[in-house]
Amino acid sequence: MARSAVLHLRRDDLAALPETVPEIREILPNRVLRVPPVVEVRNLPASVTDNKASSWGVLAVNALAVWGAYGVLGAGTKVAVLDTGIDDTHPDLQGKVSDWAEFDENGQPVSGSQPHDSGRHGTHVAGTVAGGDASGQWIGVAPQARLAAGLVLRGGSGTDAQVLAGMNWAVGTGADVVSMSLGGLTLGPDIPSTYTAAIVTCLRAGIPVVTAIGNEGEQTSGSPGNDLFAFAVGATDHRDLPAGFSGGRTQVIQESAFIPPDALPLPYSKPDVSAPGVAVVSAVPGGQWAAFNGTSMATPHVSGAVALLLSATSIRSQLQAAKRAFLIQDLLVGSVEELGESGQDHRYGFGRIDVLRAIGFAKERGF
Amino acid sequence: MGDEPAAKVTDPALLAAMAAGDDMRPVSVLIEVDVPAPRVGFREEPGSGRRVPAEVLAPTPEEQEAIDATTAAAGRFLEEVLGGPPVWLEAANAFVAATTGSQLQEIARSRLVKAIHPNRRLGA
Repeated sequence: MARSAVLHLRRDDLAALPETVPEIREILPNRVLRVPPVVEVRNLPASVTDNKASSWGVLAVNALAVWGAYGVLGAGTKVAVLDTGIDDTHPDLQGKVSDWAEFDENGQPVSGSQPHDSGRHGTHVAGTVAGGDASGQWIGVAPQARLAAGLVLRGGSGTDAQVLAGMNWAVGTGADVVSMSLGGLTLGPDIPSTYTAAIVTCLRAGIPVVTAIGNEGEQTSGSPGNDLFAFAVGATDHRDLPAGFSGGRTQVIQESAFIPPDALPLPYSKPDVSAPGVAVVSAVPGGQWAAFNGTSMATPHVSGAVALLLSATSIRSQLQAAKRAFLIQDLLVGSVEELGESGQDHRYGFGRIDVLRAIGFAKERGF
Repeated sequence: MGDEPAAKVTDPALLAAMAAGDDMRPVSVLIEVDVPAPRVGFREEPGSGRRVPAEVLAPTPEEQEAIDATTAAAGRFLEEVLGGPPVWLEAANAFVAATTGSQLQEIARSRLVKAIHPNRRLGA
């Protein structure tokens, strides 16, 4: 990340610092920065508003077809959404929050916290996972899924400890998938091993960790979405074009305690897949709806697709947990609508997800 | 990760904080315990030959026993150094604590500690 620390120093100490700690490259003033606001789209293209039955994203990932073909809407699954919180009184989300927790900056649970959204982001993301049709338009990919909502980004930002505590908690809730529309831009090749450990812990429990790749554009990626083991998501628009802001790049792991030495050095690219993330209409607090842009909006389409995939198949009962998340990810990757360059690229990943095809492939394999 | 205390600190700014000793405000850090990482099994993808992750391998009962013992010892050590219990994040295999520079120095010297990471701020 910034690879810097905040210090409060007296003038003399500041003057002596470069000599005392020669590893210091630069000393900068500590400016006040704000989290970039979520981009809200006011004027939606006609081809987006033409979709009266559902948001365009729910249609594009083929969720509507799954509901009709297999008669499943995500019932019996639980999606953990780690974000700014959730407005559980929103008409599209009422009665869907089965678990709630809030964590402070040191990863401690906040005692007595009740479900609420400290911003708007978390409610929007949760709406894309499991929102209903209270507006007359379906907004969620898996409207019958349950939600475990963890507040780890108070007001739009949070610490590593908050996010890791949320992941820790999500495993204990029995979630089937963790959805993390969050991250911080990372320029170096190093991935924090604490995230790798937490993601691998989730995978060991059979839980894919679906993570936004970041909004800083091509040749960038955010942590933890850039971790090899995260299932990273880029954003597409209603024409199946990659969003200009959507991140993605190739990295090389030279050494890792998690990976067998004979697999190293290991080059890998992100994102893994892409999903609708431009002009996505979903719920916002106060019983309202709004259209947002971001890989944050693409991520819950994939998390909802995992819920549908599990709801429509026998994957959970037939496959041991330690292998399950990898199969789920393989099915989603192997069934994408391939766009852009042949194979994986930095814009689409392997392509835009198609959950109907993923379920078809799973059924063919006996699940 | 090397055995040298400074080599366990993954961020140059934390090194500076360590050098500042007690002449600084406590910094929130993630302290990774020195236990074997969970191993991921890879398979070769037919056609491309690409190595892809396929399953998470479970530790043996002996390995798990050693992990539990080391983690418990690390918790006791940190409680003693910090004067109170740190927050344990099992999934991340790490403790969270606010530490002064001199506490960081002591923690980094422990054989129970694999790495010390900054507790960074992330956004939505």
